[in-house]
Amino acid sequence: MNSSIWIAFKGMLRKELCVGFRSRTRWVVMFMFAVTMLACVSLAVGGMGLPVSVQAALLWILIFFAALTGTGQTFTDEAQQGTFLLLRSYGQAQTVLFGKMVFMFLELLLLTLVIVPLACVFLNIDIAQPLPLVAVLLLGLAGIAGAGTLVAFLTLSAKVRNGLFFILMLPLLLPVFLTAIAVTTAALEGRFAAVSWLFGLALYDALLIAGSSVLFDYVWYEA
Amino acid sequence: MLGAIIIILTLVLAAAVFFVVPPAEGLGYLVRIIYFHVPMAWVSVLAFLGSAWWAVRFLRSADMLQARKSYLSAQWGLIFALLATVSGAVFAKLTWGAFWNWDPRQTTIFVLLLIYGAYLTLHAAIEEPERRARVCAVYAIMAFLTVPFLVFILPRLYFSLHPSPIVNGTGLAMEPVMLIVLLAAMADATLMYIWLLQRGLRSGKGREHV
Repeated sequence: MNSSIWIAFKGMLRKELCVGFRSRTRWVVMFMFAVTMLACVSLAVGGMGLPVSVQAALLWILIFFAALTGTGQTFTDEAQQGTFLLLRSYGQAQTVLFGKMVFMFLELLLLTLVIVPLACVFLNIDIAQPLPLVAVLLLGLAGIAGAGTLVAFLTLSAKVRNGLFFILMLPLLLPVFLTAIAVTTAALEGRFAAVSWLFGLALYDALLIAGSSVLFDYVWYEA
Repeated sequence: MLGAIIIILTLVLAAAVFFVVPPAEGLGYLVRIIYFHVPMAWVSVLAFLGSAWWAVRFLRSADMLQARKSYLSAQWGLIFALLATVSGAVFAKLTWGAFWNWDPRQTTIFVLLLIYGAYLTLHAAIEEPERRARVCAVYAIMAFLTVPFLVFILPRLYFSLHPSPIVNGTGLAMEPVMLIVLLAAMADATLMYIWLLQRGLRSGKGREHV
């Protein structure tokens, strides 16, 4: 990789980490949203012994909606704080895209580290095979971050942003969502999760990231 | 001219479906639905492909006409997909006993409806024409990247009651007359799509925005 691009990427990521972790309100909203949803689901199902497939589906619904609550704001925050023009003059499209994408992935990882243990407690989830679960969580989050960064930028000039981000993201991520639920079910049941599922998920993530990378130039330089 | 050809072809096909095509083994006259369902599904995928193609051309040329073609194609693709979904659900009710059971093919078409519904929502949510055209073109291409997964991979991961032969060509034993009528119906639907697209472009002529 060209060293100047690498340096610019590191600078962008450092900036995202500094600004992102300083923005307490967003973090609090994201985590509280996840905890509230989890509490609602747990209260609703009570002490019912849920089938493993339902547990897996609920886990991914929690991750998915909590993730989308916080991540759609990444470019809107820049625009509201008046740093968007500075960002455009500082960085090349790819540097900005991948800096924000990697930060979004790390952000989602932290969120998942909170959600999964809480879900295990409140939904009585037993994990029979942790490794496939970790793999599918990482791949699922990569898919969300891969598509989420581009879609967050697309919604920047829209009249209504919040609902729109969900509407645009859901269909793009449904293949990730369905595959992740299937692999998670297998991991919770202790069945051997087919490697082909994880491979398919990784391939789809790669497609989303490559698509975002190619298309981002067209919107970034014309914004 | 094209409109007249479509009307004549449609009437001939309707007559063929009701009076010439024999009942299918196991399905009886229910098989008539496929002469509507399959062409609608075919032309919706064609329209989505067209939308992505014109979106690419717009991004490369910044020609607003390409953006309008992409938008119209997505719009008609969504309508054709909706008709394919409804006709498929009726067929499912009559043969499997339920309108909807999240069969992989139903899941696929439902996701396609969501994608292009989202595309039209995005189109409606941005006011500035140039920006809207660019953003929608990017989403149309991004959305189309999911189509191979949804159409070719996802249905193969799950058990499906949906007959696959027409779609993937593994060979349905169709009588020649049935096959000819089906192919003619697909050609008719394709002509309809082209005509609707031309009409949409003519009605939007002179407009600066998409």
